[in-house]
Amino acid sequence: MTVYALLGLGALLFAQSVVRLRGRGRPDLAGWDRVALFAAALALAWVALLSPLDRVAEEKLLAGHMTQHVLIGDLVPALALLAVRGPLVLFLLPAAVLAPLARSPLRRALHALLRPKVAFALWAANLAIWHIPALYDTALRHDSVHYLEHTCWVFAGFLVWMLLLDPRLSAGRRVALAAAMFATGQVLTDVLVFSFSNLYPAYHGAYGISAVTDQQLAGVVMMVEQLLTLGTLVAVLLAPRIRRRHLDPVPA
Amino acid sequence: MSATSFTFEWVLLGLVVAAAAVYIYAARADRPDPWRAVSYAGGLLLIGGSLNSPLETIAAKRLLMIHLLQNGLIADIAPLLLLLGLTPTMRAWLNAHGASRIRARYALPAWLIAWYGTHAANFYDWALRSEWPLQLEHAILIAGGLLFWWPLVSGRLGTPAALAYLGTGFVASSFLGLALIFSSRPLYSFYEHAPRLWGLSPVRDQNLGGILMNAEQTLVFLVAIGFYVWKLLSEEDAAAAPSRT
Repeated sequence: MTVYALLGLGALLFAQSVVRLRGRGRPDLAGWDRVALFAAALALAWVALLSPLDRVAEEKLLAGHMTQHVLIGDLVPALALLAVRGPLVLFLLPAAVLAPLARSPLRRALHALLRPKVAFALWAANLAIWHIPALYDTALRHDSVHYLEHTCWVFAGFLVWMLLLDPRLSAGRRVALAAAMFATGQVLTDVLVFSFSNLYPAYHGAYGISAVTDQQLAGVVMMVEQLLTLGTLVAVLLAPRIRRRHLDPVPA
Repeated sequence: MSATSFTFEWVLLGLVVAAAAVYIYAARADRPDPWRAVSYAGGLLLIGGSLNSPLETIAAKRLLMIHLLQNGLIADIAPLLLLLGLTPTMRAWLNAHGASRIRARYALPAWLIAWYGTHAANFYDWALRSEWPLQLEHAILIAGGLLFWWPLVSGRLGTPAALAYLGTGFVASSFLGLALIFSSRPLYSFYEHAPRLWGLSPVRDQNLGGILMNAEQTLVFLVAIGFYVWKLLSEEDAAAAPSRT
């Protein structure tokens, strides 16, 4: 129910921001491409948390749980932030809410968290902590811990993607952040893919997939998702520089 | 044959000795930095040592996982060390004698064809059943590795293009290791019937081989990508420096 309410609230805020910005004569900054991106983010959040995937993730397969985590911690924040980038983000909240927020300590806290090293450290710590088997199993047994876990994923995802999509940060720094995230994710991936014993006792395998194969699949899910999202971002950031070099080749 | 006895690949051993002699000859006129000499020697030792030692005996007669580790060493690490060992003058000489024609867009597919082609089950089994095809397999892997690393080490690629090149190579080459990790039946019939070591079943041997291969490639590629990311940041800082002053 809470998730439905949050998704509904997100849709409402986004819709009113698009209407307001278009009303000010800037449909170019709130086009249908933005609507499609935000709708995709909401749809993926629904798939992760409200579709049958949720039951598979909680009761059947670790790979399902990993899929859920990469969706809410990576793809959903990336798509949502892509949708609201630019002036649109300032229209998300009504002025009566935005103005006091801008003056509150919350803004300073967010500013501190949005330093690349801080954001990356929080993201990496979140990744490491929630994959400790004992904590992972506790989250599966207690709803409140599970909600906290998912909130942490979403929060950490938004933090790093705000930086990855921030045009004020140089392309090199964003590529470095993406590479650091991939390398860190690769450590977890390797532990999951390269292990021959079941690290998460809550999962026993299902649908004909053994517990160890399920665990290895979970590692592959994370690697493939990171390659797709971070790889696409890096390709977009580097493409103009590669083209520029082709136009103006440096002698060998 | 005992697992600890030595096996030799004479042709490749001869090539290693020849490569060492040529380097020493070239170094008389163009003295390399010590780190370059160590890198070159390390590359030769990896090739010469892994193909002419008990590791070769285990790889060619007993365990697939050791063979895959050996292939990773000679295809990924040794060629990079060899090329890093060349001085700028040596690289310029190679460029003047044809190496400048090696373009990234041809080197990458050639390396991938060498990588996947030599690991195709039919070729692999054929290579293992006699002596010279195994040497051919290893020569193809070394040549593929040299081709792959040359556009990077020669400095032909700018930093962004180098990152794209490495990223593509990393992703495109990883499927073989993953296929071996997740396989549930032996892919190479030679090792099904080979005498086992350490109580490993053929499938477990294959799974472990995939793990070793993926771990080795992940390490090599992440280090290389990390180097170019650092270079990208340095270039950005250098470009921004004049505007700050």
